[in-house]
Amino acid sequence: MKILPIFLFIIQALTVRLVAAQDYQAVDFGIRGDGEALNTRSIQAAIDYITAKGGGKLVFTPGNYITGSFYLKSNVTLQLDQGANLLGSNNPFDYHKDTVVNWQSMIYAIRQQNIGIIGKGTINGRGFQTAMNAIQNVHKGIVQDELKLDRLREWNRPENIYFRECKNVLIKDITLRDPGSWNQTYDQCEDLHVEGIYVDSKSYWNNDGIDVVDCKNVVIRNCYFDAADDAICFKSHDANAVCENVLVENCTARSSASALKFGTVSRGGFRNFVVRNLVVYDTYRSAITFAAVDGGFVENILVDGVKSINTGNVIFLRIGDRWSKGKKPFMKDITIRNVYAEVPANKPDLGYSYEGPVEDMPRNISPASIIGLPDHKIENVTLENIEIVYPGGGNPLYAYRGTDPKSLDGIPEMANAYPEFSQFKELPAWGLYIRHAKQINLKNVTFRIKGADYRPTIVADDLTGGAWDFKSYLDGDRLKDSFHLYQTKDVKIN
Amino acid sequence: MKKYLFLIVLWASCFKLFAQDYNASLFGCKSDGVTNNMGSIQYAIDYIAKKGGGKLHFYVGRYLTGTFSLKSNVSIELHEGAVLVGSSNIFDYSLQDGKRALIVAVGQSNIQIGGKGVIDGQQSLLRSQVAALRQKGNIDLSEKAEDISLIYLKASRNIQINGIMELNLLGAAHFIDQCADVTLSALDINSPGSIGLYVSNSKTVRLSNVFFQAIGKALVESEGSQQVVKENSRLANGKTL
Repeated sequence: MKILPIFLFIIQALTVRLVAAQDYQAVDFGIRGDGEALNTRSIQAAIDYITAKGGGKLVFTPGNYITGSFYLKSNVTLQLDQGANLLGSNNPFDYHKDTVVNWQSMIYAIRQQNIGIIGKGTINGRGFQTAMNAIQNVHKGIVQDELKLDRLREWNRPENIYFRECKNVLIKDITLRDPGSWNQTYDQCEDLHVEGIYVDSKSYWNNDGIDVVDCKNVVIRNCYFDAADDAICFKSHDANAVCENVLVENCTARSSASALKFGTVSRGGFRNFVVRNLVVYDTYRSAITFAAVDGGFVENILVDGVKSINTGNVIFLRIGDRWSKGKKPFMKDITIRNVYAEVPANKPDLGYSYEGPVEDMPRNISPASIIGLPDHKIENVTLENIEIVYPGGGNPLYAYRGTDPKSLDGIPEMANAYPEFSQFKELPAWGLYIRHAKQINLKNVTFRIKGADYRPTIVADDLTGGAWDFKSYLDGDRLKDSFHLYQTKDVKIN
Repeated sequence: MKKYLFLIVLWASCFKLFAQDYNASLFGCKSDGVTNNMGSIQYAIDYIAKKGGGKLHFYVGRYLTGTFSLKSNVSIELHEGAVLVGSSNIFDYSLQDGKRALIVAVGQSNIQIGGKGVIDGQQSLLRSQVAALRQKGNIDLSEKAEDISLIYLKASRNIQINGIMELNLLGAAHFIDQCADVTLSALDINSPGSIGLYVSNSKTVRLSNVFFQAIGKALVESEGSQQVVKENSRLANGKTL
């Protein structure tokens, strides 16, 4: 594991920070914080002025500043003082769809450098009402959208922030709320530093915490994310690009989807990640999902230190084949260690705005899973110092998957399905299910259930290689030999 | 050839007339789980009925509502991930034909409620609200939370309820009185303490492939019913109905 070099590289890359430049007051450009004026053009005029003058900060003092889409430019930092709220207009026509990214946003930056958004103020997209208004425009016939799932497609609703191909980006201390689509996307950026931000993003469908797409040299530190969709999400949209050299530390995530996710779009790849001290709670799907389903790869990843409480699933590693176009996906060299996790019997995100959908039923509690494809195996995964507590109570009358060859072979491959821990419906183990993998190691791994479950703790199907040191308990009593191996070889079990 | 084309177009347009699809958003329904959509849903059903019938579609999201009434030839599709959430306020359940229920059909026919979605009765919230109202004396003491049904069908025929999951209900999930040809199939009912199906004075009520995860009593047959058919329906402990 080449952790130290990566870490040093990131730190070095981010030490060259913004040079302190002149401050400009928003009010001096006619930008009004009265909660009524639409400030789109005056904000743009201020940014254009400051960038032309060589750069500086545009300072928003306390007030409610309504705006539509504008572009941040090189050497300009927006400073939102505590009490300053940048509010998204509720008129969908105040937003622009950028032609480079083909997506709507309030704040864009395209091919700029040395930019930032800082301060204790808030960016609030007010996206729910904007999305409602946009739907009515479609019903009126004046806007075209297929209304998939009875909503506009996510690129036709505004995010709060969309930066593309930017260098040296600082996002610090701000609060981000209620976008109309995802929330903040950093796409093919280099030297991205996100620190101390607070994100409350659960007002509408697809509201993510943060999306980092094909970026290099990224630090996300001391942040809090509460999102309806994925909370901390890394993507790879471009088959020729890679998301790499990333440090995520001391973050807390709550999600009605997954807390830490690679994918879903995973065309290029993900490599050299260190994630440490992650707290996950009340999360509907998985604490950790790594998906390579579009031809991309996942390689050299360390997750160290996760506390996952009241979360529906702990680990879901998946190779699929949705849009690979002949590219060969792979996933290898992953270590996940020092994890304590509790999985509840009830819906973990009950009562949160925009709860995750009940789906793939009937299904008893799903296990952690490592599931590749017959031709694309997940390789060299180590799970170390891990304790997972499950509720148990799997009822075979409700949903049944046995461990006989017919039952195991009957689990569909679902190569081109959307990857989710629940996609296979009932799985044959309650603790861990492994399929199509090589060299899966368990070091000091403990599984506990509170009530009896008709399934064994671990089932492995088509696994070659691995050393397992694990214990399994039912209500404190050791479950002996609670595993089932099928088409599996060279696994040493202590 | 032209003649056949004309016939095909004619046939297609007839088909469209009887199976017109409408999205809930057209009527301003909001899937935030907070906005009470009962006005929009009722308007939608009345509108679709006037247009000759069709189907109202709910896609993924939580749709809070109080009582609404079904009309003949108007069906409801709850797609996977869609949740119809019953209000936690008893006064949102209007008295219809002497009974409070979330979904009511009196004297209607040809209706399907289907899909892989969910109806959630918010049992505990509603129960505690009713208890608080009773304690303050702000509600007639004859009003009991347990009397609120999920679906109340009276003097109606040719009704199918298929595929959905029904959670946390107060009284009967299905209260069926003086009806004919009612089919409940492939339902997943998880509602501790409540009644799955209450049926009286009805003819041909079919219960097939219903799984009761938790229930007070699965089936209560009052007098006067003929042909209550139970097929492949069972409780979580394996007991067949």
